[in-house]
Amino acid sequence: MTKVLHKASLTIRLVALGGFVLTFFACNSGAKKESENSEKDIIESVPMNDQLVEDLNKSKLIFYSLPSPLETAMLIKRAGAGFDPDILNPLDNISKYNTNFKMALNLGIYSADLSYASLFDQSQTTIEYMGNARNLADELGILGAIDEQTIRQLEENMNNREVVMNIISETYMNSNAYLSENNRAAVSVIVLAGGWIEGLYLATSLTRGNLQNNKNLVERILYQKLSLVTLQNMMETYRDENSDIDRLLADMQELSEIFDKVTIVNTSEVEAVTDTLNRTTTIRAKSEIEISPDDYILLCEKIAELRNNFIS
Amino acid sequence: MLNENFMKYRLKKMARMLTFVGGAFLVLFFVSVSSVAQCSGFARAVAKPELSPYLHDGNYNATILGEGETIVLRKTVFKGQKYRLLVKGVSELPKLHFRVLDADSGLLFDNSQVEFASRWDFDVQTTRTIEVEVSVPDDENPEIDTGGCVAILFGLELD
Repeated sequence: MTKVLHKASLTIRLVALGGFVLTFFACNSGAKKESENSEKDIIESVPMNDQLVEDLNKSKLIFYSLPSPLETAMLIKRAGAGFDPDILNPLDNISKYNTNFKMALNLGIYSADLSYASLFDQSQTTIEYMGNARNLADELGILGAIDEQTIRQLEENMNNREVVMNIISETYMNSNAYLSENNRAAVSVIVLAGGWIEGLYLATSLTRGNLQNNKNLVERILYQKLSLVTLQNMMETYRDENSDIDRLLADMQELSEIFDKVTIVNTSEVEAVTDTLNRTTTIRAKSEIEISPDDYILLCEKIAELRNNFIS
Repeated sequence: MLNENFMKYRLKKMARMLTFVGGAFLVLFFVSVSSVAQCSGFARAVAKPELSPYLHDGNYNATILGEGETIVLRKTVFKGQKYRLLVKGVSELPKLHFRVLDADSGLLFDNSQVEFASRWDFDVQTTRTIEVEVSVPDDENPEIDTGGCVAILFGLELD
């Protein structure tokens, strides 16, 4: 009987512990706690005061935000590049995607393609790629992110770029929010990775591997070195939950080794000037970014290799 | 015999406790999940419209925060782009404090200097990775802890 009592008592403790764990993960589905090591780094790099000690004793949730497909498409357009339909992931490829990993990656890839097409007013292409994104979202069980009404709204507003981009922004947010809030944040990270690599592929393809072809665009590509660090941090957070993330991390490590050849030199301090009247802060600094022509070709080839593996 | 009856009584009591504790945590779990789920509705319906006329970049960053808690969002911002940053909490929360920091240079912006504004524009003339640090201040009532959804959204200026 005593044994039974002990067993019952143990079960209560396990249920209680399980409840705490479930509650904890439910409340933290979008982010994880920062490691103690990085807090220690901060402590060592700034003078300590009581307030800072108090701040550091509180553990913080860290979110990572990658440039979205819309932001990347805008960077490409601002750099003066044009639209090339031949570099998009062909629509027919969708029949190849029969694992959750491939579906998630290519949901991100098609989202990047349709963002790029929409920014260059390619209405029909935008609608077709939205159709593919919808099919993949449905297959992944992302309920209601992209529905018949979304496609209809796109068709009705084909000539209104602003509305079209708003619809794209909304569907992208819906997909990511649905995955994050249904304990599938790791899948969401794969979608983001797919979108990021496609944006990089589109941009590098438009420079045709030549540093001189569009210097503004090349500069934006090289600065993605910073975003890659963000992506790697994001993936590290979920590597234990999803073995596909482990595979992706290995791919990104190979890419990171080539990005290491990019040198960024900050030649001045960052200056932030706040205009309270216009509620705007201007962030300025001088920096130089460089890569050798040969290494740039290597970078473009690696990006193409990764992307072609993803879409195959 | 008396001892055995006592044991049976204890066992029954524990079984009832087990049911109660298990049930309580299941309720708590589903309440937590549904609270998290409500954050996307909040972000979409309440926060996102405040980015207008900027275009929301499509990234979803929202979570539940309580008093005294802090979150950090890391993001690379790109030269030549104007961003609108919105840090919005549910109305039950006190005014949120946010700071924008640069990894090398420290503080770039502190909303406590502009009456805890919930949105601010950034004209970015150099590509940097920034941190947005958001805190829910402790209010003056130590007996009631308030918590709720907080969304951190970025808008992009259209040409």
